[in-house]
Amino acid sequence: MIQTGLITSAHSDLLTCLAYDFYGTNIASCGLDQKIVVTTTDQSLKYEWKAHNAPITHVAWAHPEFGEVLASAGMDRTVRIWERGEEKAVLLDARGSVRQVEFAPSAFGLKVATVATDGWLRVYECLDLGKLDVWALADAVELAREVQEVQGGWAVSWCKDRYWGQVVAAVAGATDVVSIIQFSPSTSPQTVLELKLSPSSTTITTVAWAPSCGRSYHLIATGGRDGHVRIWKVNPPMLDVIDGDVDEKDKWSAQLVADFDDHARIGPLEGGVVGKVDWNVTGTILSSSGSDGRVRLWKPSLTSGGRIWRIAGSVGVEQKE
Amino acid sequence: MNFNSHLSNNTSADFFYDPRTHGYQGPPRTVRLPRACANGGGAISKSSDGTRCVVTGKESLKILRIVDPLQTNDLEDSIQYKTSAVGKGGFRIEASRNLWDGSGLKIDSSSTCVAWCREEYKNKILTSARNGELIMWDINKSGSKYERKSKDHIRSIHALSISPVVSNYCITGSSDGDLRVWDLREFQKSIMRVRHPTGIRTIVFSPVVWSPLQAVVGLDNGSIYRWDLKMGQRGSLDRIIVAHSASVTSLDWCSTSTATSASSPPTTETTGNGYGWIVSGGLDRCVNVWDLTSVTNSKSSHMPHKPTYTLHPSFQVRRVLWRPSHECEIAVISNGEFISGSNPEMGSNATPTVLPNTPGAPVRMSSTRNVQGGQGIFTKKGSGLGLDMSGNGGLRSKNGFAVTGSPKGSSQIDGGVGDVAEVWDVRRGWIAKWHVNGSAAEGGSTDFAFGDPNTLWTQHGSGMFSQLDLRDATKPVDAIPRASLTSNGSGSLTFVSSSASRWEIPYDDIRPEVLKRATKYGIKQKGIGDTMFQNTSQVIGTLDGLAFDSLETFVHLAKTYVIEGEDRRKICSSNAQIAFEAGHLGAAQIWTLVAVSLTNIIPNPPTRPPSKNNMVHSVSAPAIVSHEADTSPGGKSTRGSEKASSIYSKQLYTRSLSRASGHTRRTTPSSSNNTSPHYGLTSLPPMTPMTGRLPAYLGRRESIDSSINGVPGITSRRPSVYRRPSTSYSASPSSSSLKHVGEGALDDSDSSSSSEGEVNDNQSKDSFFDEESDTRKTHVSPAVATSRISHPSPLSRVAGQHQWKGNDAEGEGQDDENDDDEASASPRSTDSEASNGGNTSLTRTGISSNRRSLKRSSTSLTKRNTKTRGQSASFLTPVSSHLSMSSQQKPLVRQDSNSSIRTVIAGGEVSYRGDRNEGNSLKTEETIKQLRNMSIQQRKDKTSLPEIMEGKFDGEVLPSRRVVWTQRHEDIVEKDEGEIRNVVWAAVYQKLEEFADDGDIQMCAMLAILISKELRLGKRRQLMFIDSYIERLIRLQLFTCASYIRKHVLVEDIQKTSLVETVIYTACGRCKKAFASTSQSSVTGEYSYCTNCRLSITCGICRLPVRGLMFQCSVCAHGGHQSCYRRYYTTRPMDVLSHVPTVLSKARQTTSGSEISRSTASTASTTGTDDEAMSTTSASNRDTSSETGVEPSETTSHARLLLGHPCVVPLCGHHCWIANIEDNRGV
Repeated sequence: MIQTGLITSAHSDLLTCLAYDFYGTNIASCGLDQKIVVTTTDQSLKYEWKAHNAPITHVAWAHPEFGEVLASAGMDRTVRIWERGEEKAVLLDARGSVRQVEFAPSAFGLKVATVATDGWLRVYECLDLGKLDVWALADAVELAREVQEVQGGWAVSWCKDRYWGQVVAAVAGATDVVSIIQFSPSTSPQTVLELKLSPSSTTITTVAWAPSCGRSYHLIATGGRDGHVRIWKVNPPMLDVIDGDVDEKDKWSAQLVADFDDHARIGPLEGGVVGKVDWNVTGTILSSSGSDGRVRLWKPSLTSGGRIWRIAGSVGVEQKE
Repeated sequence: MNFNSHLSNNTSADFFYDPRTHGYQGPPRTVRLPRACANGGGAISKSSDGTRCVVTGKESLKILRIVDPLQTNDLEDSIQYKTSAVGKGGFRIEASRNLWDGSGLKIDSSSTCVAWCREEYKNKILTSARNGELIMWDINKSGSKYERKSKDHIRSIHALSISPVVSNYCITGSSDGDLRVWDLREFQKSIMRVRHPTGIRTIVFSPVVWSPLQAVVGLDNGSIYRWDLKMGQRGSLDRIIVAHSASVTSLDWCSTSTATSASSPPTTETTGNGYGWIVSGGLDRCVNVWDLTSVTNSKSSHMPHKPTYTLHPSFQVRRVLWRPSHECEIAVISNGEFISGSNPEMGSNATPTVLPNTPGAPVRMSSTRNVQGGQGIFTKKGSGLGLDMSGNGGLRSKNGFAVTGSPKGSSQIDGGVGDVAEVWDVRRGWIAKWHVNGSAAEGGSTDFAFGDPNTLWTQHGSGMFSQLDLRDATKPVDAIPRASLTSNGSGSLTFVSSSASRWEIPYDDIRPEVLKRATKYGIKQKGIGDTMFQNTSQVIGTLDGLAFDSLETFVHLAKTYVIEGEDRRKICSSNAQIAFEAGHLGAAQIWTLVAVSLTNIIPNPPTRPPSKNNMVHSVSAPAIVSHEADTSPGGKSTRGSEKASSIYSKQLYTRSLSRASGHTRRTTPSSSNNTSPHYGLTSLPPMTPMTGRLPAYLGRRESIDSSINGVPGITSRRPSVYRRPSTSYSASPSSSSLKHVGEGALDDSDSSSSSEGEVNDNQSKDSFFDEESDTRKTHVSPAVATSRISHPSPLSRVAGQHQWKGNDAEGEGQDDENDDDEASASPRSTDSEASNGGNTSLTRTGISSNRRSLKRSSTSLTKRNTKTRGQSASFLTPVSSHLSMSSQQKPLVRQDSNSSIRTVIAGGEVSYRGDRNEGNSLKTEETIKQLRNMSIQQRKDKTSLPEIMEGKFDGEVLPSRRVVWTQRHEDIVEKDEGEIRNVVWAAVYQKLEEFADDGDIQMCAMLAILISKELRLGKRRQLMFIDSYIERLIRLQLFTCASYIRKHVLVEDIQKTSLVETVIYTACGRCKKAFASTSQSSVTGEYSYCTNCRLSITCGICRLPVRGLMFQCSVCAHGGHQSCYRRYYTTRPMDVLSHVPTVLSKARQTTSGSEISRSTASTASTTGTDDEAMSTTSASNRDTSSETGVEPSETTSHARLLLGHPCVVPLCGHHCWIANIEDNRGV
């Protein structure tokens, strides 16, 4: 049913992150070998360079309207901005290794959110789009006190829509609480909602905010150290249906709509840890990758009782000796 | 699973173990002693008995002893210790007094390096000094332990090493580039000097038993030299110039398989391991491991020039050491004073001199970064200063307390990669095996040594000394995200899946006790020289087709869906067809439903399109007129199968016209409004079409709908220019025309064709006014006018109904109901409406409508009285009136085989259209017969002029009577209709949400674009759909589709994207130089001129200077007032430049003939030259449509015709406007 092509890794050690660019034609990958490799979809090498002085944990593409811009986060506590393999800026504020970067929707300008093991969520904004070399720390939120790196989880994901302002879902530290934080130019960042499990049981390692594609609700997927993939349905404050005015009184709310432990089931000794969850471009298929060596796809199926999220397939790669 | 997947978990668990939780299980051995080296900095050297070490720093030299609580027997020592610190596990550090005190040494003798001598010199300690002195201490000496010093180096000694084999040899390396060999027996002077091109950073004495007098030197420039010390300067064995790309800061040499390194004396004999292995660390953040096992004693045997292993710590390396009894492992500490990780910027901030020397001293950190090392003592006080700037000082100081209180707690802070002490496995070059927790406390390490294989003695920058338990370490690899995936817009998913084993390299420690058994299973014990780690646990793969909806369908639909146009119903049905053909049945169903639902059973008062439409289309109108007049008179008459039945159709035509006019004449005795004969006359022709037209022949719904929707389209096309002149008349014409309609309905059509005649009379002059009046009716009148004007629609309806009923009765009894509806719906429309409606109905209903019409016509044709005929004729006319729409008649035309009547219709339309729309005079030329008819009518009409005026008046009265009656009927229908519609919209909305859930953003967006009002979509919601759709398109790089959406979606937020940062640069048409607006002062003259060429443009027509809107040919630079040019060109026929036979014509014909298609629009617009695409487009479009109607069978023989407007300036000879249109006449 699904065709799989295996790719040989361009990295000499573990690969930590993969990212398609906006058009889906280039893939950037980064790894422990401190390199970022950009390949095209037909697997021809485009750029490859040593980017950090430590393992690179995450890489993200900016919207193409800003150029072929990449941001990378490394365990050398820096975030670096690249344009076609050329270093444009180094963001140094983090006091722990930076674990994730993600660019804001292009409507907000060239902004990048980073989360580091010092427990801080930082948002940088590029002040000189022509040169990409001047970045200012636009916002900083402390999400957690420091946690030992191997025990925690750090993730940040932007709301892909611009109608509610700049909103991110972020998690830091050994916690299962995903904070939804709203930034605005005039006021300090506000946590508008917390996605909390009760009883809390795990550490969230990855968060993905689904593109809403005009739906009246949002979906946020999380993956945890317990191997669970969870999907939250988040109802944003209603944007006035007729006029488009924001009704301030309405609050964000959320409910857990799915909770799967499949990644934990076949986990080896360490137990399955969900490494990454990601939505497809329309926010209808969730894919998750876990340390049990499988990639799973989740899809809502229409039943009499409404939409139920179900597994739509899983890919496991068996490797022979 | 992974590389050892053949093992079950059980067995692998049997063999492997985690050295942190197995092995030594005693109490934690971590213990820290603050101020071991009071003034900070320092070096460590371990005594040969392994129980003590010497730490030295700035004006400080202390002997430290770490005492195991379980170790009861006290060591004999000549030095007095006092217990200074006790760790959690009971381990305590005992320190001597500061031996520096009383030595009489100055501060510039402060130690840079220290070595505890061995064997017979085991009570001697050597320290090297910044001033180049080598100082010997004797701990057995009473009183001051300082013994002697010697100075041979002229600059600071960086490195000091005692031979692990020959205990009386010592070597020193200095920044002056000299390596000096010292014999402790003759300490006065060095016994040998080996020079180097640059300063020496580090040296290591050979631990190789059979070749002890060798040394390896690491230089500032990154070179590594190996020397045979017996040969002195000539004893160069190896010279690796670029061993590192920066200074080599540290070297260690292990010579045995059990990892005896130079820093810890050999415990076993070397066995066939050659010269062992050398590890070097540098400021280039690399640790290189050099294989000397194949090196022999012969001088020609060299060490390889490439390192066997390269490790990549994230920091600059300060010291490297082989870990005792762990063959593959190397301990590495960072060069940063703080846990600056790899940031050199941090390191520079954190120079030792900035460091406060005493824990209690107030701290002034220039950067918060300095503090983050987690040095608790400092932050306690320093938090108030530096830390608060970053906003999390509280956190730091909190942890700081933890550090001082219980050293283990510090691990909380320092779990990261930036930890200063790491243990690496040579086989894993990119990530450390262990982070030693707490090693970064107190500002990083300056030096370290292994107390035993599992404890690390480190001296911190702050002066603290600690023994670190290596069990308190974290696996940095655990923090590495191993699984990742990403998906793109086209449904591909690329993933990394990982199934890591706990025992993957470098954690494949085998329990010593099961080693043999493990070997049987084929598990080899790891050892140095093994291959590097291969990343086998990760698999990278791609999945395609993740989007369960077909991407091809999406793309196809994106390219073909239509959203522009005035008639949404038609758009929807066309999209339905598109979706159906694309196989997206769900969408097709919805489209069809929407299309049906958009059809008004009772036409709503037409909603006027925004005025911009007018602007856009207006340009084309004049051109249309002129072109028709000029180029294609023949085309119309010949069109379709009309020829065959032309006579008949003409008759119908004339009759219908006459009927209408006749009524007006008769019934309207006095017209209050119509003072001028023109109006009455001109207004007449339009009316007839409205009443009769479509409904009879076409499906009920279509006609209705069309009439409604059609209005805006037509009106919008009206040239705005022409409207102006007629404004004065506006009120009267509209009303009059409506009245006429009503009359026509009431009275029979037998009445004379006077109106026709009148029309003809006025044609030449008033054709424009005629149009104008039409527009009036639709556009202007409701708003402006009196009650009378606002009424027209009901009136007309009444009339229509009436008529139709009669009709039905005569023609087909069964169709009564249908006809009713049709009638009620259609009449309201003015001609413009009618025309549009006609088109839509034709195109859309296709067969069914045809069938109906056929049926009816067949039955009624013979029987019908003039009334019906009139209707039929009128029906034809409206369609033709619209140029662009005419193309859509094609389907009908093609099916000419079906019935003559239908074809008649098509033909009729054209001819009639000509009459009404364009200068009537021109149109009449089309067919002789027509002309004849008209002329006849004309004759009659001339006489009846006054009557017409009267008729108008009469018409006014009539409506009021009728309105009441119809209104009621309407209410009922409207109510039912409304209910049904609500249900439908609710269903569609539900479906929309479903589409949204399913991620069918395309469908969502289309619905949001076309029927957002019906679905009560908020603006935001609509925007969200369209936005996401556009983004999706862009992701798929369907830029044209995206801009198509942006262009035609009338939502500001969507459109503004294409307006942002759009700059239009203007240039003079004559000199081609840009108008530089900034530097030039604004033009103040009576007319504008180019400041570069200093010339103004004189209008080529009126010879007056141009100021304001102008046309200028970019080639010949002639130009003039836009209005002048418009007037001129619209009246003047184009010159035929050439015939260009082309194969394109066929394709073009099909496109132009199809209903709504985006390709039509595009091809049409490209037919003209860029300068005037608008006008030529419409012209060509019309032509093609007429052609296709006329001679469908001859499509292949079409040629292209190049037409051009000559430049208005005589003798210029340039054709400023050129149109490339299809030529049907030439063939």
